Amino acid sequence: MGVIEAKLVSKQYRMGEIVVDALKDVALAVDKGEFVAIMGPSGSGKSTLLHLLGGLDDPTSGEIMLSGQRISNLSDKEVTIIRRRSVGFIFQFYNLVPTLTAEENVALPLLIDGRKSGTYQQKVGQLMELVGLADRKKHKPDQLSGGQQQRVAIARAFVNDPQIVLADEPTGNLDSKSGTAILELLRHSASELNQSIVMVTHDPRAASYADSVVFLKDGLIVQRLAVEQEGGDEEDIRQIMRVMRELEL
Amino acid sequence: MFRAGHIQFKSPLILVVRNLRQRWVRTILTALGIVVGVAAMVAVNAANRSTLISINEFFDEASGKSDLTVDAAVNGQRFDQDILEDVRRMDGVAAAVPAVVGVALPQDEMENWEQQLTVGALPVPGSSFWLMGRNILEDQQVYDYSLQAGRLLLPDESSYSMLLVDEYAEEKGVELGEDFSIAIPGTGEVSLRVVGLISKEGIGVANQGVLGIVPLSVAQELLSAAGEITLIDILAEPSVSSNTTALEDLRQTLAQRLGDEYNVSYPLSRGSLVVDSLHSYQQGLDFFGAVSLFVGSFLIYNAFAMTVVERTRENGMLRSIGTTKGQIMAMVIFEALLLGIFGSALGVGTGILMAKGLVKSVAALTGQPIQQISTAPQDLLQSLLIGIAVTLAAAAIPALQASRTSPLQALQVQARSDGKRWVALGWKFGPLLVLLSYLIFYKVPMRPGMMFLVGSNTIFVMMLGATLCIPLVTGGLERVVRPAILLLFGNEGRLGSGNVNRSSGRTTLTVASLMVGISMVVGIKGLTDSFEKDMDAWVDTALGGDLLVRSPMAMNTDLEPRLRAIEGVDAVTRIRYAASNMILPGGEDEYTLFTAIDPATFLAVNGMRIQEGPDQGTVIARLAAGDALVISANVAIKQDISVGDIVTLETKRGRKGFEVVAIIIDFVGGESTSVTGSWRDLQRYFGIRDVSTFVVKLSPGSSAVAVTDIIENEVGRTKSLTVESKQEFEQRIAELSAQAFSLFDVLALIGLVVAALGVINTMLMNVMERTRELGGLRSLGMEQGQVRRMIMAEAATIGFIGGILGASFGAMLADVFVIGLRSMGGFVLVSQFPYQAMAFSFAAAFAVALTAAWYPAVRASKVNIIDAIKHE
Ligand SMILES: Nc1ncnc2c1ncn2[C@@H]1O[C@H](COP(=O)(O)OP(=O)(O)O)[C@@H](O)[C@H]1O
Ligand SMILES: [Mg+2]
Repeated sequence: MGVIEAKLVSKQYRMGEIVVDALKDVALAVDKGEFVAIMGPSGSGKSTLLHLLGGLDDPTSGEIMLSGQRISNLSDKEVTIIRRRSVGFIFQFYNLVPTLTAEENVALPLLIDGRKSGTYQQKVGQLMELVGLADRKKHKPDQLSGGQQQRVAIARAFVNDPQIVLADEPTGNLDSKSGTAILELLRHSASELNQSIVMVTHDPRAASYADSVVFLKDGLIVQRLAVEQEGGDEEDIRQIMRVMRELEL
Repeated sequence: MFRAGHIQFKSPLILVVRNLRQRWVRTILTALGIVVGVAAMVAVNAANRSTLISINEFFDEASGKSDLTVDAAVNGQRFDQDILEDVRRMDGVAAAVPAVVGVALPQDEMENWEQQLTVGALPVPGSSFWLMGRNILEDQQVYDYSLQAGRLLLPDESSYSMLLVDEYAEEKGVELGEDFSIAIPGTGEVSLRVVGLISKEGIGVANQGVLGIVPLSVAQELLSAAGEITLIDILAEPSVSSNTTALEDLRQTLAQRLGDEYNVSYPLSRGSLVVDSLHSYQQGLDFFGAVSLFVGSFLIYNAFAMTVVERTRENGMLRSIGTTKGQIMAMVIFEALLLGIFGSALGVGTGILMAKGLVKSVAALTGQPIQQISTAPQDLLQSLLIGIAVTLAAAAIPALQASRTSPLQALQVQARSDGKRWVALGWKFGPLLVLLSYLIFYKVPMRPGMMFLVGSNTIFVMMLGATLCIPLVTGGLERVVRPAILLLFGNEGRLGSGNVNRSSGRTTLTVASLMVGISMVVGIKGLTDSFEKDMDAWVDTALGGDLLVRSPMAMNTDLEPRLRAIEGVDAVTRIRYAASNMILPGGEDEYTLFTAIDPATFLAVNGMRIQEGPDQGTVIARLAAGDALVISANVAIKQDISVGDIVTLETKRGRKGFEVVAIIIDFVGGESTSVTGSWRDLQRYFGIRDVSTFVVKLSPGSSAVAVTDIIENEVGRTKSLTVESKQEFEQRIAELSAQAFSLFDVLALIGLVVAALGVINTMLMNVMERTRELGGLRSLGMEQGQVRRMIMAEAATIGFIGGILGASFGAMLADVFVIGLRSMGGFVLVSQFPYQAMAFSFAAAFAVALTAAWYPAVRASKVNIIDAIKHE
């Protein structure tokens, strides 16, 4: 049983007369310490799946289980608390609060959870070190580069020791050097910190950092590919690109 | 703040403080909204109060500060002073001071003794010197004594000491410290020591200054009236005296408590036409006070709604990392609280300055002296609290919206447009609300007391409805104005003008603040026009004659031929006001002022403005025939009475039905119910024979001054008559109304300031929100000047739409105000369509929008291209 599971999840969007099947009977399980990449063409339902996994939206049918607990179709309050304590999000556009410093941004989820400020100094300090920004703690987002901002966002996603971290194209907006740093950070937290991660990406190189790659097309999982080597391995990347071509992604 | 590596934020609310500090431009704009709202409220109230103070002071000169007087039902009769205690115990009575009045003759006039003093000891017409006993210590609460020489009476004085008016002492050749001898009926000759001289103002104007003031106990002894008094002056609590309804309630309660043997009335001048009608202004001003509050709250709402839109992504992110709806809501409310406290405090200060400054400049412009602004601490505190409360209330909906932000919205690259929802909402509720509030004003009859409450709330609803209607018309109006904008601003005009259609919500808020401000200007101007028009009509009909002859004491009808005989007098008619109760269909009774006219002479002097009914001659003839009444239009509206109906009045002979023969426009009753009947009915049913006022018409070419002199000094020498000329009266009314109108101008100015602030606020938000897009346009090669022109074109389009809507809505508002005041006050105002004001306001809207957009346009043009693009 995975940390997070999607059990035959479907999602329909209704726009007047038109019904869009964004996801069709998707089943996915992610184990503890597993790093899964999701790939697929634009509009294939990647973001929708991620939203459902994070409890941001409810599936039309099927269920989402987090550590054996159903998180779909709960009240807003209940799912909010679960999200606050057990899920971490990383966005394509970092989404830092511009009025807070880097470390305050990292501490924000704990603050919102009502933790006393003394109790998380250490944790925040560790995370800032982990993401390599120990010397940028007091900087405001607009004083940081895109890559640095994304690293702050990652630290923020990890600060509540989440059971699952969900990232939607976290490197989509970054140069390859900053992107690599981010991917290595994610890889590290999965392998060494036993953190479960689901990452949406367009980039085969990025996907090669994961343990496995799930391919989505028209709302269906069309293939699941295990990644053999360490991230950035050219053979793995070729493998992923071949599947993409086969599936006409 | 951080210290030694500690993260010092203890609660999510720190986000709010950071936000306020970091986004200081928006903070200032929001606070400015609150400041203007509260300042408008304070300024209006302060200005309002100062007018009232100056009006009251004007009349205090004549009658002291007393709000009500109690005397015996039989004119001049004395009564037991024990009643004083009863009066003092009543709720709403701040002070009650007694006086005993008797007549006497100065020694040098004693040859005429027999001729002049004929009616025992009563102070009746014919007496020439008033011996007035007063309790000097209590007295000073009510009357001003301006001591010219010597001293005032001492609190426990029991010697034969007396105060004289300096003018009279001089006339009689009496010096300070000398004795003054008078003869008192039943007592004989007495010498009193003149210990002080006062000037002929305050209490000194009584009986034209022909009086001596002695200690109460001394007067009671000399007049053989131990334990008796002639009248009680009542000073009401400030809350009661400043409110006509409360004062009337107190009057009725007192009258009921004291019973038939006593008369509780307004002092002569207070009951006069002018005061009553000016109270309608007071209500008008109150009305605008409430409206300005609405405008303020609208501005605040605007600012918070913007904040929420602006922070959609941030709030979405907060939600996605587990912030609950309640927490988000708490943040916005906390922000509102901080801003509310800060803004309201500043607003109170600004309001006082604004009232002072604006009132002064308006005074300088119109050449009208205006009483300096007065501000009571409790009013200021009240404004402060209201400011905070309104801020919180205005922030409530945006707070709710913020809490409803979906976490998904943080992930969307482009915020979804809310335009469709606005239109849908507007289509459903906008016209409905406008229609509903219009119907309430026109179709639902209401008691005057209710009218203010319901009326002002209805205005709010109407403004809300009009705001919701904006998205419905924006598109169409934009197409209308587009050619002109293209002509003015070229190709940038096309871009700018089109922007108006993009974010329906944003445009709506900008247009709405403009519309509300502008419609306030038009509404006020329209109301002022109606007032002015009606003032003229009022002076013409209410004061048909040239001179009004009154007396503090009862006047007999036999004075009429003597007045008519005076050279230069063309005609004389008499009027008597009597108190009665009208029995309403529901069985309850309503205080009613019965005005008795003399059908034989009335038309020679006065006229009637008949709204419904036959011609003047027929109406007068019907009144003369008896059992008939004419009622005021405001009464007809309030009680739903038409011509031909029978109204029942309480009379000395029991309940009596009168046929309504006409509905007229008059101003006699002010806010109270007023009916007009014949002299004969007054005698028959009310047993009253004396006269309240003689109205004198002069023959062409004769001098008002000369006739006044004859009336006061020859005919009235022994009758204590006072004469007021129509000219004086007109002048006074003109002064007072100019004063009131100048305050309306102040309000109109406030309306424009509010509009400007609203436009600056929203345009700036627009620009901030579009930073990325503006950067994009610049990167494509748009020049700074072009960006500015584009923003200005957008502002011009908004100015046009806001101007059109504001002017039309304002015209409607004026109409509604007139109706509201008509049913509240005694005025029967006829709506004047405010063409001029509409044209002016339309131009003003344009100017305001362009001026206000200048800074946002400059800011937009200075957007750093690289930053803007990198931004997200
Ligand atoms: N809020 C929405 N309303 C309607 N349709 C939506 C909505 N969100 C996504 N869709 C549709 O669902 C499908 C999947 O979208 P999404 O999950 O965002 O795809 P991806 O992230 O793979 O590009 C698309 O066809 C998209 O148009
Ligand atoms: Mg996507």
